Amino acid sequence: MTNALELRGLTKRYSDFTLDHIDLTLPSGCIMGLIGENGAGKSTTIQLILGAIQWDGGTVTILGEDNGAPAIREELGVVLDEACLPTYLNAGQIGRVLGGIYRNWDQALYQSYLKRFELPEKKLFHQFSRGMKMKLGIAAALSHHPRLLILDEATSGLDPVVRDEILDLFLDFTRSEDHSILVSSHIVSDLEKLCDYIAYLHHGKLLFCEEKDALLERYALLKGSMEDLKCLDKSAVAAYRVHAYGVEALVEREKVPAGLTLDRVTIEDIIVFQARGERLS
Amino acid sequence: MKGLLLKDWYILRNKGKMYFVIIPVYLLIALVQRNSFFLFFCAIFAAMIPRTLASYDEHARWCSYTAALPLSKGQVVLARYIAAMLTLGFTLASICALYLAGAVLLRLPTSLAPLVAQSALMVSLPMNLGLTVFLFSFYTALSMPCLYRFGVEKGRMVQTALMLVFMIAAGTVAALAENEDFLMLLHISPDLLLAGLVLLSIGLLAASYFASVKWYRYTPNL
Repeated sequence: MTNALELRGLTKRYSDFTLDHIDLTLPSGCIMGLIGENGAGKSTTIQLILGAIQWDGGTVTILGEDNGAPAIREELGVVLDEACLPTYLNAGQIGRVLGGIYRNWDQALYQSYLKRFELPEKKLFHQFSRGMKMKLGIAAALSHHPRLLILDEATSGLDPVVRDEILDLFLDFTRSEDHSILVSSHIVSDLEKLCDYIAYLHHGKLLFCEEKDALLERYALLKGSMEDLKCLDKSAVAAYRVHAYGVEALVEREKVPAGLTLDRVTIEDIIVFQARGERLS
Repeated sequence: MKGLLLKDWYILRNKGKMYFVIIPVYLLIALVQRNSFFLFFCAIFAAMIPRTLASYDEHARWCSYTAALPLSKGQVVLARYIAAMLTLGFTLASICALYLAGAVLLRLPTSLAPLVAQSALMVSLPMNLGLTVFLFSFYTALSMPCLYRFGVEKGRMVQTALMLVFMIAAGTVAALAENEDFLMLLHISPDLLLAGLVLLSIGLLAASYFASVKWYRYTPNL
């Protein structure tokens, strides 16, 4: 099956920031979380995928097609941070506008989302709360039957109940095996709940892009002293942090001798250690 | 593209109703004025509407959203030019309606009749329409590429500079059109001038469209 998204050597240079040779593959039917701190390059990556900004190197392939082809965007649903829909239009008008743009627009489906999300049809978009705006953005993104959803911080700033509702909707979307999602967020718990793959961007570089379960299986937390750490093979220790009570290290489970007590890691642990931890010299 | 036109129409309907009132009101004033200031000011005023629409789009960050839509840059820009042409159409229709109203007033024994008789609006309908088309097109052709190149805010500065050029051009064209002796001296008949203005307008808008497509950016602030 064709991959939903392929980035090869994607590079964008600004005077003060470089997104550096990003290689990433999102298989069809999967959800990939793009994680990174503010300014890591998540939104730039998404803008490049959409072709909204010109890249300096690399290629972007969406569902097997070059991303420059307008036709491929019929298959694409997008929710950008703050939704970016016309401020002075109401939900009904926005539906009619998008109906005049997408060939596959399903007005009945759009209406059903408005009803499901309890969004008023006559209220202007700028009068919506952030949660309502994001819900309308999601309704708009799903109502033309896209195969790939691209979500840029779609859940940030939402209360836990709304976030949970939206995450369930995304999980429903990927029940169809040719539906895929690329979702950027810095709320790691959301991505841990939702994603099959995790891609971690740090200062414009892709530090890893792997299956979530493989990451959780590969890494573990080791708590002990600096001396304990020095007894290990250097390649076993991905990073460590020194605390008042000792040392905490992110280690590769398979490279650690049997008998040592290891704790389970979360994706958040892996990211924090990768970003802030020290390396054994 | 139909959707983009619908969006612009909804924005004007929800936020720009005053435009549809102010243009006829200015033309009504022009109907009782000897000079053509209000008539041609309407052309400028109408030509500002596309910029207003663009500012609403930029405020909403709609430009970023259009990158994800199944539309080419050419279609996005063309929709805005068509919206501009529809605005021009509304202005021309208003001029025609006011001209007809003036013609009716001239036949009625009212105190307004002498004022209307001297009105610049009643001098020549084809010439007034032609000059409105030219002034609107000239302004639009200069301002739209700036808008797409620099975004609404930076584009406003460039547009202000263009206003100066525009006013000088408008004044010159108006003076030429009103001075038939001068036209005779140049062997240009008013009809020929009218045809020339319309052709020039089409040429300017076509060149402007291609420049706008070349400069169009989905993220004007980046």
